[in-house]
Amino acid sequence: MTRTERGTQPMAFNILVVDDSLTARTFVARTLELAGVPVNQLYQARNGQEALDVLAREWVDLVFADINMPVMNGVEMIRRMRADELLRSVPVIVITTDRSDGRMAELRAAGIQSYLTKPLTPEDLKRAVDQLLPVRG
Amino acid sequence: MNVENTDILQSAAIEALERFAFLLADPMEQSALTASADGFWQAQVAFRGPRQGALVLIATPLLARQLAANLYGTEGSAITPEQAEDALKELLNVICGDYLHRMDGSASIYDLSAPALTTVSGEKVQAWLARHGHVFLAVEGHPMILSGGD
Repeated sequence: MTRTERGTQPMAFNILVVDDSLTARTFVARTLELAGVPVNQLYQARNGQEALDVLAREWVDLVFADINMPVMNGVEMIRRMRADELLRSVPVIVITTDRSDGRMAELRAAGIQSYLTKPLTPEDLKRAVDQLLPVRG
Repeated sequence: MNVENTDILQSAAIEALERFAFLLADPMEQSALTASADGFWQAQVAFRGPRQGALVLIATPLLARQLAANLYGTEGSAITPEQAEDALKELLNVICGDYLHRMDGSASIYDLSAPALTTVSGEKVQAWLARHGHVFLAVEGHPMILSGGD
């Protein structure tokens, strides 16, 4: 599958979760399960740089990303994705504790499609995924 | 630093425990603090924005393990100390973000540090409580304390 075939979504998604906290990554994985989101492959990365490395070698349908991370933060990761012809259309959902208007404006300027604030619920997560990745039968 | 509004901090903590970790918490009298054979874990996160300071969370390793077990969806016996530490730090991160939002609304931007964790004795916890305003909670029967940091 090439990235230009994005028009036909698979029934189960390849999802990348980016957070420096193993707990946070595991929590997102569990919440995806509780929300009934069909997952084919679940990739994990501890920071933006590791995430870009995963994205360079794996097909990923959707990225969940924290903002405050060492090495490369989430905003910089999203900026680099949007500057990359192959990655710019990959949807990103930011999961953050910071719900300030200023931060949200910064994320929108970086090209973010959706964000969720911690603590998130399975319902929040399912709604966001459905908006970005409608399953086509 | 003392927390400026313990009622708001208490609400943020109780809601985070329920929604994030599926743990029930109630306010508790400080006199009910009992010794922990394993000491206490003290997690701290610094924040910088319209207010500057730090938030501290103190809990027993046993509670941290239970917290991690809930978050990881497994038995407490399968939880490693590293997972328990990470779970406590992530909980503090969530509480701190929500507390600052409740204090200042959505107009203010804050930067939070990576949470750090140390082990402290019961005596140090008592001394800490004497110096700092705090919230004292019973979480599924385990003590949990939140306060401002130095």
